[in-house]
Amino acid sequence: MSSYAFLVCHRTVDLVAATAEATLRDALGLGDRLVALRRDDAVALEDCQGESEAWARACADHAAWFNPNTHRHAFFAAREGAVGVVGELALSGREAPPRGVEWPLPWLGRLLHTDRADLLHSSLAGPPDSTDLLAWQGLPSAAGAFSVTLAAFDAEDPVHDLQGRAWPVPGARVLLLQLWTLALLAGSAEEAEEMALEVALTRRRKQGLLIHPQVQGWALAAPVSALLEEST
Amino acid sequence: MSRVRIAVLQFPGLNCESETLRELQRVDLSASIVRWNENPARLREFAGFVIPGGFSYQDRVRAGAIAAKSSLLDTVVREVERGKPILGICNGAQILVETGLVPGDEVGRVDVCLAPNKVPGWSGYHARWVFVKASGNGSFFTENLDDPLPIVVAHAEGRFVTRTTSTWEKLRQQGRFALRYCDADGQAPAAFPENPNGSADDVAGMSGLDGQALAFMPHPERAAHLWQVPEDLPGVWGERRRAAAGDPRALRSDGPGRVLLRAFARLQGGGPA
Repeated sequence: MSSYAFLVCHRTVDLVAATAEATLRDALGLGDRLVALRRDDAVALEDCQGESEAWARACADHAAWFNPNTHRHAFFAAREGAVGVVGELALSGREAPPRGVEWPLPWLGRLLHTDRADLLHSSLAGPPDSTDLLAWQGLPSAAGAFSVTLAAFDAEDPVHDLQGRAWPVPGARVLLLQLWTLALLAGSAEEAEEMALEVALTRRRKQGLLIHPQVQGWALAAPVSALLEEST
Repeated sequence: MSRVRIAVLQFPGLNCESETLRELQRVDLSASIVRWNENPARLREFAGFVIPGGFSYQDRVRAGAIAAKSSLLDTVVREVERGKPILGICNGAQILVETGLVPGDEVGRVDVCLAPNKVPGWSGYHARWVFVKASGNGSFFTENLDDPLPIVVAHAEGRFVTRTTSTWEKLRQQGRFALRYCDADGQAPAAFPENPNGSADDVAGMSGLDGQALAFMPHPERAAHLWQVPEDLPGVWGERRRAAAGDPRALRSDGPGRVLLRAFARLQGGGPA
């Protein structure tokens, strides 16, 4: 059994993220402390039988979770020993992010397929780290800023079966996630994480926007990373 | 005596403001459209509010989420807290739950979500005629509403959801389930399609605050005339429609949706309900 994951982002401006960014700045009071906001779709496939190349080809050809005309994708085999993120997230409960389960980095083990030519020759072709995720997202570098990535998923029915396509071998489990990455000016990584949760989780009319805890589960998806200003 | 003034709030992407305005005017209300970028102080002139249906801000992030944060609603929330009634229709209902006016145990706290439709064998956008009936402690809009009303639904996210069952049970005990889907006889529906979105307890409309706020998924403005009622619809309204066939004057008479909109006329004489 193998596990795979892929990332999907917009080819051009993501209007949803742009509207959310403006709302967080203006209506929820983040102002200039919000350097940038990015949204990616992420898909985890677990319990996949068969050849990895066949899965990569099937996911790219079927375009089941993205439109190749408007989106770009990168498809990865999970690193050896990566925790079963589908089960972990599905069982973690809506209000209990599974600390220690980092996602998606442990899953981005080996790049199998992408339509981003720039990534084929980058370090993303090897085992990636958080820098590569930031490169994928195209976050601007900024002194004093940190990136915080939150994953949101359907809390009622998080795990799906593969349906309606000629998959290499049916039976895999699928988890659909939305990744929100906030680049925030903060005094520390801890402060950045606190700010991100404050503006992401919808608790009150003027508190939170990106994730609705009444119906969505969520987890801190990657280590909070400093966005270093380029020395050049 | 001056007519009751009602504001129809418009945000970018809403698309039912014109017909909602027209139907309010037809029940002898003085209705005006107030756009999202107008001076919110103007809202104090009105005795009540309607947020019509559509796709505010293209449903970006989540249906109703962006409009709920707007400065126009800062003033609306204050006016509704003072007792002025507000009706949210479809996307307007989604905006009301995102503002926390519904259920409004603590104004501004978001306790409910209108989640994607989820019924066995069906998901996504669904449009059809359904029946609703008043329930619970009712609301400002459902007083004297006895018979099942046929009305139109057209939405993809109309399923009232709370995170915990205890919150849902509290809402039930408070009588917040102001309107529920039913069959033509007023009985609880067995399942889809009478309940078109899988909402627990068949909730079609949830009341907020002291009953002056109503988040209602169906569209009363699309059932305002008898001619809009399908001829093959069962129940009293279907019989009226069939009897009116060929009679233009009868066909232009009140449809079931107008019953809800007429509630605003009770504000005649001034002041909130």
